[in-house]
Amino acid sequence: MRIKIKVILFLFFIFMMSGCMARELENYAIVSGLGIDYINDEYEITMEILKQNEGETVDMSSMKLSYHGKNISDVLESFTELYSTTPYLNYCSIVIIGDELAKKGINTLVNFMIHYPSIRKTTYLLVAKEMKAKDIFYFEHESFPVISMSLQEDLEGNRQRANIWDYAKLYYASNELKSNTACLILPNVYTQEEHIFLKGAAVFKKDQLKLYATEEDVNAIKFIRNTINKGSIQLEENLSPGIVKNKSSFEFKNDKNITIHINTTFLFYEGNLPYDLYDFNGQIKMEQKIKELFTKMILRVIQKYQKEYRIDPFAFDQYLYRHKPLFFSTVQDHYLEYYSQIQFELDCHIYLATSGNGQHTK
Amino acid sequence: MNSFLNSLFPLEVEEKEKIMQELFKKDDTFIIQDIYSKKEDSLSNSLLCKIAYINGMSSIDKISEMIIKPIQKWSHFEEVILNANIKEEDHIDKAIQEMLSGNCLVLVPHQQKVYIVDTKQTFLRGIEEPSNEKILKGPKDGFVENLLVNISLVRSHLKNHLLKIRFMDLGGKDHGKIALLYLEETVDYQVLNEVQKRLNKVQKSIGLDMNILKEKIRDCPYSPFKTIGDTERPDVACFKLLEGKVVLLMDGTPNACTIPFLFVENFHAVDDYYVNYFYGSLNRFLRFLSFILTVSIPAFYVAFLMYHQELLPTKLALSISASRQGVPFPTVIECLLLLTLFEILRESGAKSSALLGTSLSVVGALIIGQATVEARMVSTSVIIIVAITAVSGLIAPKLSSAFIAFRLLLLLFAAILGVHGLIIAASILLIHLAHLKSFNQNYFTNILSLRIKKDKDTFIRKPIPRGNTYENQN
Repeated sequence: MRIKIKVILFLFFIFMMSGCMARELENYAIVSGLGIDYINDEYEITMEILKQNEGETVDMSSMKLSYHGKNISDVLESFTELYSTTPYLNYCSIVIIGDELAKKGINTLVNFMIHYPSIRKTTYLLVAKEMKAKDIFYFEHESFPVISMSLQEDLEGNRQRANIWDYAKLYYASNELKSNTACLILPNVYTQEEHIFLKGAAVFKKDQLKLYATEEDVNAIKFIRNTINKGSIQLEENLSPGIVKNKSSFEFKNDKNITIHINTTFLFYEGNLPYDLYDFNGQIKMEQKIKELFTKMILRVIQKYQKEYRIDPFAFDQYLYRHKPLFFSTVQDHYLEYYSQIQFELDCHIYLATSGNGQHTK
Repeated sequence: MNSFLNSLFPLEVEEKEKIMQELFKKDDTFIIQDIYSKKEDSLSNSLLCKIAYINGMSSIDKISEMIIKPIQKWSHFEEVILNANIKEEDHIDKAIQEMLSGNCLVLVPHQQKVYIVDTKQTFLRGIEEPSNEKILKGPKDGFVENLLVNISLVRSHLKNHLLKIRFMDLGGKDHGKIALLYLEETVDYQVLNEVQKRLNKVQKSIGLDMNILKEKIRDCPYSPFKTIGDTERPDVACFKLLEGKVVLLMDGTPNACTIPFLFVENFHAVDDYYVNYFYGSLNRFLRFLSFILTVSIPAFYVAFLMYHQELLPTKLALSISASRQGVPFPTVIECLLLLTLFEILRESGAKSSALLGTSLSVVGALIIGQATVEARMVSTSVIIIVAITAVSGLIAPKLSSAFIAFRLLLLLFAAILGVHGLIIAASILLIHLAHLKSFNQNYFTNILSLRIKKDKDTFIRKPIPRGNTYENQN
């Protein structure tokens, strides 16, 4: 009997205290995107908060708030004073890093976010190209009612683009920054005229922004890292085939030689093509031409990053670490020097596909 | 006066009459009548005997035809009473009981015994389909209040000489006779002995309904889960007999009890066997699913909204948040309010007449669906949750009391501790179910045993040609 009374009392008190732990969903400000800039030795954080409209249909709209301070955590806490409800960062899917902060270094920011309990580890990190993250969020256009959600849809491949940016997630970035040899690549976002563009990438050396890679560089990197299986690539002015499928791998021949094997299928739409693809000879010539242009492009990009920038965005270090761990341990401390001396060969197999329209080009 | 009840009848008929008059004074339905001889050659009519009966319980026609006329003509008793069912009794209390059942007592002079003649008035309603167990295909007969008719209904479905029926007299005086039915070739004798043992222990009156007897003999009387099954259909009773269960019938109750009753039987319905096995299996699966849904959906809703908001997709969270703008009550209070309102509507619908039923449903829909949402007293998402909960709960009516109890338990625990509380409450539920027994059979038999080949008819209705449907489930 005494035990029953104690159990009942225990349950009663727990029930009475239940309100201390619970918080209703409508009392939270749902944050969809964060923009972080570093200006005049202060962090400026912009939040994109989803509006919870009453009514029969829920129209997606958002409001933006900005605040600045010395520490990131102080700024986040101060938002409660600005906005009467507590910001809820669990739904934050996009974090845009401003240009200045990227050049200064993002290690502090990434460390903070990885340890902050509310922020999901699968949040995408983007870099605002030569502008402030705040400007991206304050960009107003009817096509982008909620900027962070539009960017997230784009990154996750809702549209027909080769944007498989798993490496742009917070947990991956955090792992990459811990490594001495790795090179972090984050997507670029910028506004131009009346549109927001998600093109190119920001390439980091250690935790500082080194350069902004072009679309061509990004495609080459994706081919080599085997993370591309759709989209298109511009080889020449009038030659932009689509990509159907791709498979890439490395072969470590000896200490100084790595062969890159690429098997890729390009899709051509009938139009102003230099050769007739419905003719056998035309196919052969087209294959040779594509192979030549493609190989040149890949090797040009490799050369640029190897000799000029001395950055390894192609993840050769990971390949060595996995397949030649003993050798990698000997070169790990001076990896970039070793990397700059590697001879790369490209073994490329091109397959052509047509859209099947049946019209001859010439 | 009660001392008379435990004694034997006196020899003289006048003494017998006096005792009967004393016992039934102020009862105008008690009739005691003299029967005189009617011989043509006799100058005076002599008293042959007296008959005692209850007006309304005994049939006057039967008394006249079977007792009065033959006695008056022949002046003998036992040889001339035209009735196949005639007994002798010398104990007053037993004779009174028989008279109260509709039999007629013949009080004879110079004998301690009285004759009990079956002159019962039959008050039978027609055999019709039970309103609570309707099916689309299959037999449409149901039990009535008369015990012998019910037994004959069972026999008409199960023509097997191994079907045994035993009548039992329990303690107490104000209830009808009880019949115990079982099939000799399939019954579990351990269960049968246990049933008899518990029935013999019932000393006091059990009132007028089988449910009171069930409460007296069941395991774990405080559990909301049934451990004794019941049915109003003879075909279901036959299925249970073939499965090796014991069936109890009681005079005056149109219900049969089936013992033992296991957890899986809450989800079995007789029409699973009257339709295609695939459709029957699908229906059974839906009942299992509805059990889980109706017990856990409000709890999950409260847990996710109050403690684990990050588990909701962004658009869903935004939609729910928008619908909750301006609602004054916390989520858990909203849920409790609407669930209580639904239970009130359900109960008042069950008690009201058919004429009021339509108005009630309209009022309920208007009040709950329209007015409360427009007044921003509750949010639309809670209406959906409660509607799903309510509709799921109606699919398995055998578990209605259990649904209410455990739905509330899970909801309260989820409101206190979120998903952790829900898991604790679900564990309490599972422990309680696993602990329950029904006449020494584990309540969770066939679920926890994992005998796949033997227990094929548990979660799905297996095709009949591939095995015996009536295997002993115990």
